[in-house]
Amino acid sequence: MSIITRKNARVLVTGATGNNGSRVVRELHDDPGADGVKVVADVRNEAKAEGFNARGIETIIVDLDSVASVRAAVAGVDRIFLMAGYTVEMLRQSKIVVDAAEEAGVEHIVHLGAMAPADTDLPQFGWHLYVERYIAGSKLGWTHLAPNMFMQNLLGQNTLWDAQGISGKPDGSLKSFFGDGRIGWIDADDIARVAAAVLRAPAVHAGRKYDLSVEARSVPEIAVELTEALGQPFRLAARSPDEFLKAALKAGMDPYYAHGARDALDRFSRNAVRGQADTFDNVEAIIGRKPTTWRQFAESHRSEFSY
Amino acid sequence: MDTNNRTVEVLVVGSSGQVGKKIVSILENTPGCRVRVTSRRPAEVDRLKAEGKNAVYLDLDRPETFGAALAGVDRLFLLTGYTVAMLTQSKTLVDAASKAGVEHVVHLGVFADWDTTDPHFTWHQLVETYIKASGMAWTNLHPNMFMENLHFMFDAQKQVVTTFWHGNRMGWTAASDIAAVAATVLQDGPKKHGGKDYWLSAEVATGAQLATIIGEVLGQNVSSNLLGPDEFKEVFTSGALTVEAWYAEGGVEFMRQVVDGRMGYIGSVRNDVPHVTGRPALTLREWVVQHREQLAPVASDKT
Repeated sequence: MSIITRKNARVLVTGATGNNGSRVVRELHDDPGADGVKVVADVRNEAKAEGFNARGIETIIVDLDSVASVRAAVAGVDRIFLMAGYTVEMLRQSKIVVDAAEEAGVEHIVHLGAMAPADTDLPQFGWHLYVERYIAGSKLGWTHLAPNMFMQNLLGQNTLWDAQGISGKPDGSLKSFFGDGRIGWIDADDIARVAAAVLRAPAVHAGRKYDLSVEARSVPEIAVELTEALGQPFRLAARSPDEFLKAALKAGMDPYYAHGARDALDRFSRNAVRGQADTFDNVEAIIGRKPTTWRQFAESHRSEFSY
Repeated sequence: MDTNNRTVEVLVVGSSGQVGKKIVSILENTPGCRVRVTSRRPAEVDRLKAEGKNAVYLDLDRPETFGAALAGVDRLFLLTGYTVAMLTQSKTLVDAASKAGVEHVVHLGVFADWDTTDPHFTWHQLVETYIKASGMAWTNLHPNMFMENLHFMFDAQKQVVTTFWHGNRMGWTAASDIAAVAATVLQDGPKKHGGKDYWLSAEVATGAQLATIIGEVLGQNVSSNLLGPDEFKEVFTSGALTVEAWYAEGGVEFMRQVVDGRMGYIGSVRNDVPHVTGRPALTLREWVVQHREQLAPVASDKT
């Protein structure tokens, strides 16, 4: 780790076309910070690059399964936002990136994992903990981000609803696969703001793991907030974890991953994951503003929730 | 912890498997060691106990069984299954060992360079890193191809030995040597072996050289059938073997990397057996001699 401030550090954002990566790219592009970071978005092909290039954002084509491709991408990069896919391949992909980054002399890596108790036995949460320990054992400076449930999840998981033949159109029903289990939530935009803040000034955050969970609510409690905020009735439309599994498999999710996700949802529904409703006040300290509450989220996403 | 003056409790996971069984039989005859065996079947645990064995119920897919199984254990031999579940099994077992105050974990991994990209090999490295970060002392064993695989590679009827890495060299180690190294490490403990990586690849041979060795020992004319990753994929997906998809893909990728040179080091000798055990590693020829009976064709005129 270097504590010397580096001007115009190059930041490679993996998963740049996804929900999280695209937000991190946007944050860093809109606000490069006092030391002027330069964001580089990874894309899988030229077609995906066009949108970024039109906005003046540098892109690089990366195949996370190819060592040569990853090595080329990390050459000359100072910092990395690492977000690998939703199969067990994330382990190999993450390791390829970390190994290549170490050899290329990358200064800092920010890994997006998932909030879970350290002794979790849920496979995909365990995978993230493997990656975290692997990074911590490398020569890279690191910051681990472990977000809890995304507020965006209640905006509709369209591929899953489609697979069940359920309309994703807003109708006041909040579709949840974990019933009235109580859990901590965070706005994906706040996760991106945290990642961007760390990537702009990594020395302050080196060697830290941030659990990101700002407000604990059950879905019925959220329905009450939405009803108050938007002046229309909202209610929980509970779907069982087994319905999730069926829909996820139909939508093409990796079976092993889907079964693990089913088990996680089942436990969330029974409030059986230790600390699932814990919240923390770290976000404000990192991004310098209060994180989004459910009330604010409801208001800022009025058009998506209203019917 | 000073364990010099008392009996050391050693738990061997996979104690009914080809390596685990051998470790157990060595440790059962090692003064100062009390070996604890496991089974995922309660009836088998009862049977072992009736035989006077120190047996506990442990199901690798049920972490809730780990606490009782690991309580009082000083040293742990960790070997998990050949599926993607090995990751969760290893993680949860390491977590539980840490809680139970285990002092030393001996992990059976793979023969890989630090920056390998073979999926299954990277999983083992992630497990190793996870153990290192646990705070417990560790020793990693890195066996190359088991000589026992010759039982499947050699067709005694057709007198042919099949490889899936074409004519490339492969490094070999005998299960008995892996067990001997593991047992020695488990017996000596972390003071001597903590923080060490031991490499087990005693001898290299191509498919043609394997055929020559087997042929000479059996006194027969053995030929070699040098296939590659594509044929291996066919075997894995033919339904002839039940292999989990993620694991099968890793196996095929391994063959590809051996053949295209990314894992050329697989065909090299790195032999820590004598350094740890004080005796030479078993050679391929010696292994074939030891297993001559099982490798010989079942002759109809045998009386």
